[in-house]
Amino acid sequence: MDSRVLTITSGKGGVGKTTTTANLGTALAMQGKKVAVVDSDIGLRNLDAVLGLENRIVYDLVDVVEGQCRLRQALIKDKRLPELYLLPAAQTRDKNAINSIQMEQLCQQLRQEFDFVLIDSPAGIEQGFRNAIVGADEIIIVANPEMASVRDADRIIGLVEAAGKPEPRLVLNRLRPEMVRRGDMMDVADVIEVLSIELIGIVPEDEMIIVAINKGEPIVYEKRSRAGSAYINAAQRIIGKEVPLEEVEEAPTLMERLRRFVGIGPSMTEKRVRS
Amino acid sequence: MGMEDTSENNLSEAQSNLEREEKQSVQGNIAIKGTRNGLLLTLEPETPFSELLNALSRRLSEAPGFFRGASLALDTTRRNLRISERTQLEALLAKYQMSVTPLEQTPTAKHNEREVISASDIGSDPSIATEITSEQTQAQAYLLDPRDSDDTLFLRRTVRSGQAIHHASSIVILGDVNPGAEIVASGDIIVWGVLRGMVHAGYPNNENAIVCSLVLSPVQLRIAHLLSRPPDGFQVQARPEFATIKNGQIVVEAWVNGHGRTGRK
Repeated sequence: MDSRVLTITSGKGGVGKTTTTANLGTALAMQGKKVAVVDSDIGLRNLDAVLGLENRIVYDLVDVVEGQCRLRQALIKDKRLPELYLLPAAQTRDKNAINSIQMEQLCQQLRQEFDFVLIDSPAGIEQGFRNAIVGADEIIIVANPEMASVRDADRIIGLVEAAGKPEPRLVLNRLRPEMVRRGDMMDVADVIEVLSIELIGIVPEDEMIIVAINKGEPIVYEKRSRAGSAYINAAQRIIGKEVPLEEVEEAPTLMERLRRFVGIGPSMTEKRVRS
Repeated sequence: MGMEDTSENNLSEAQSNLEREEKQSVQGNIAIKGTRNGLLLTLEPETPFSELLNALSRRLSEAPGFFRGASLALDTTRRNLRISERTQLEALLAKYQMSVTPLEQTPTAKHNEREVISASDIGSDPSIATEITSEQTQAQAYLLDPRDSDDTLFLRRTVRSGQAIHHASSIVILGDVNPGAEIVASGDIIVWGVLRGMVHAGYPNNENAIVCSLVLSPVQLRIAHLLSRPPDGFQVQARPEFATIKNGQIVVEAWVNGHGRTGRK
């Protein structure tokens, strides 16, 4: 069975691991894959809320590991997609409630049932992180285009390699094209130069994500959202489809289009050369 | 110069485990013991080196988490290593981000001062052990300019944040050295790539050592006992450069056709 276990991790907190896990999982399920998303952030669970499933939790990951329930009892079926399931984290325990061996066994169990298992890793490099990656075939790193996040991502890549896993791939999250254009934010090339790993997604900063999280609806359902379509494209790349990387330029404003029409100001092609 | 932050807990855990298993750990002709000063590797004198290396490789792969980032002292009271053997050993250890401390005699042998320092800081900083023993080891192992020996460590990869490479001779890296990484060599450091991390060449006091890289942009650059960092507002030069000690300070110059040689004495 060619099921794949992917861990989404970052080192630094707050870069969008959980959002990325929820959206990649949803996008993969929309492609007809059978997907389990696993929240391994024991004690600080959020994935359930992002998916809008928090009120359905009866059993959790720790219950499964400790044998309090069967795996199937703990898996929560998504509201919309019949092939998407969530295995929530325990909220009243901590990262040391499970060990690496138990986590690996759990991944093996999940493999039997699903095409894709996506594990949302906690921030940090301690036991919680080690548990999250131990059973993974592939690692996806989420980073923001800022120094602290890139440095932490670099640290994580080193730890992932030392753990004998294949080279991780990168989702660059919360890119702000207008800041990049002003030269106030690292651009895609800057980040790749340091991390030198394969990029599978560029997700622009998007206010709609915050609304989506509050509503418990992944942004991939929102057709107008650029972040949503970026996640859908990233999911395509995970499946192995060739999709060109997102254009980082923002859609030109009305004023810019007007100027261009009149023939003053930088042309679109000139700006693309820069990025 | 801190060791890997993650390794400290692992190491003390590993040590207590190892102390408990001390007897059983003598397998495959190698023994790794946890001592007060860190890990001590003893090699069986009669066994061929390749077998010892295999045994060690197996042992490390059994518990990579325990050993990662640790520094290992080599007990040579029963077996001495040739330079080529030592290089192979260090290459194997480098995979686990481990390093050999130049502590060539058993750590329990002498020096109460050493125990005082390391006891509060078990195994967390290889540089302490190195510094304290440096006088003795200098006299023994590094009488010659380290660059004249052939046990250069060659690495073909990106050295990333949190990874520390310590080596008793020169180090050549084919790849980048990223911020948060640490490279310490008794000889030269050559980076065929972008150097953004911390490097210390000529550790601890070899003033002839040089650092060179395709793009020299270190957080901090040290040679022998001197330390320098890029001035504020420093603009990275996208050209090969090298750093040497001239007139008692670290000087960085462009690497122009053969010019680098003048850096050597």
